Amino acid sequence: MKRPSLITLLICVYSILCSLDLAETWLSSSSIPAGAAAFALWLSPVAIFWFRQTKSHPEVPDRPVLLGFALLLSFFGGVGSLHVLGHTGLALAIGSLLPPSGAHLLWLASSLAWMPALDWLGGRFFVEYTTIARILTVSLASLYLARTIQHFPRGNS
Amino acid sequence: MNSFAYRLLWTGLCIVIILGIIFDICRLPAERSRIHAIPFTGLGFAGVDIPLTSSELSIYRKAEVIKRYYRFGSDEFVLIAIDGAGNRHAVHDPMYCFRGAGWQIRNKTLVPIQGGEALLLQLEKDNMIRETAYWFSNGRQRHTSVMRYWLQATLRRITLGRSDKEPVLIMLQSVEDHALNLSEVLDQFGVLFDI
Repeated sequence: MKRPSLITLLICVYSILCSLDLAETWLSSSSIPAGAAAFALWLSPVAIFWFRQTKSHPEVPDRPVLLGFALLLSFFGGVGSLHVLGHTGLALAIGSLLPPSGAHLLWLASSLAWMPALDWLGGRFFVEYTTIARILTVSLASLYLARTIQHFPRGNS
Repeated sequence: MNSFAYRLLWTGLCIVIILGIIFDICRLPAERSRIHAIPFTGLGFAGVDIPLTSSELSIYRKAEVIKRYYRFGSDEFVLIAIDGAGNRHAVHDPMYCFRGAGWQIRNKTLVPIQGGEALLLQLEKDNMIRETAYWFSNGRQRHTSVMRYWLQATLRRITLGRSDKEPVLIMLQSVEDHALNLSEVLDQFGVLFDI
């Protein structure tokens, strides 16, 4: 099995540490189940992809540009005390664990659905439907990416 | 990943970790917020502090907050001033908070004030009508954009306080069903423009 490079994993850990507020938000706000569930759903393509890799040894390209932006956004989100930057950094860091594709871009954009920032956005424009919008957006994007992943080359066992 | 990108990412990671430690050490010193310069009493007005509820205390935490009832003449209002220097996340978008608390926004009007503008809202919930006005102030400029507030507050932290003063949120609320006579309040309560 080809694993993500060490620097990829370290930047993911750094981004997670810069986004620990997510856990606090999900544990203390009324939108816990939807936010946390959306995050779990959003992660599912990553789990599917790396589960498929356990039986093969494909070349998984690293994503230095995504990782670079993840690092910058996580840093500025942390020192600037602006959570949405840190959350975007986390999304990019996790996104770097998957190979590039059109579906991947769509899925990355759908990460807004698990961020607490969607509560603010939804409160302005679709207050009644924030939870539905959150789950639906993540589900569709993750499903699309998961289906696309089935066609990624698996390499030789 | 080519070796240049690989080295760049390692360098970047080391730099952000070191800078993170430096930022933590050089954190902005805690200083008494300028919102405490708002007087209790003055020519024709008198105010009294309203204790914060437990839920408010849990939201504001290290932020400095004034919640005060004022009366002058026949007018009365509640002033809430929040300085998020100690806890930036205590300052929420007021529109989001009102909607979250179940208030419907019946009307909103931008009102020019000294140094910028305020947003005057008419809110309704369970046949109750309230009026409220708010703005963000860095002492010179006043605006109603929460995104601009985020930008100002974030820039201030990234520049270790060199970009500007911490913007504060000023909110005036009517008491019961009395209308908020904003222009009169602002005329007589000019001290709000000192902070």
